[in-house]
Amino acid sequence: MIKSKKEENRSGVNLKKLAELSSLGLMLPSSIVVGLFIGFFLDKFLGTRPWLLILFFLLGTASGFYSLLKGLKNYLDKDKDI
Amino acid sequence: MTNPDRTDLAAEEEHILKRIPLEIMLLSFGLALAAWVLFDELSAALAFAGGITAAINFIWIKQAISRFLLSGKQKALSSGMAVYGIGLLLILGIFFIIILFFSEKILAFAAGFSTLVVVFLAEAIVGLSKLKQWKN
Repeated sequence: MIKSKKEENRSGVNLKKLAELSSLGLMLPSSIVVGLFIGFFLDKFLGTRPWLLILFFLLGTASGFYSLLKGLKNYLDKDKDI
Repeated sequence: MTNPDRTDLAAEEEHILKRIPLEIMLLSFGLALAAWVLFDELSAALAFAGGITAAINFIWIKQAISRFLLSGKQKALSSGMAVYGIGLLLILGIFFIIILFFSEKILAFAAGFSTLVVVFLAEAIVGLSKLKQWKN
């Protein structure tokens, strides 16, 4: 009974890790895509093609990369605590 | 009823991580076919190219993270991120070429690239349903 409880905890931790890593993998592409969409529509409405598209694409990439690094560092710190 | 042990879970994780790039390519291929029917050949090609870029991006990030997880050291984090950074620069180059030459069609490429998000969501739902089955 105790063993199965331990296994349950381990599987929970593993799945939690997988979920955390998956969310890290999503951070960068989703930020890039959001930046592209915002830039594309702002360019369309303001007639500034392609400058705002490039600007928001770069902003999306930078924020995605920053979130990725921050998430990895948080993950590393949590792992140390466990 | 029974809880899967650690090796089973690791194998399952590896299996999921290996099939994600293939699923991204398949989904973007479907999207490309739809774009071909609804729009034009260029939109279809860009949607599929977006899917391929997303799959490559995923493979690179997976390699960087597993490198860091295997050693578990701060140094590995910086080296893994440096390698991934070089890959990211290549992807940025692809995006810039498309923005400069086909800025009207950038949404087709972005749609192909965001199939990664859809695949992740689908995998998360499948994973959650499996977790529920194990708990029952």
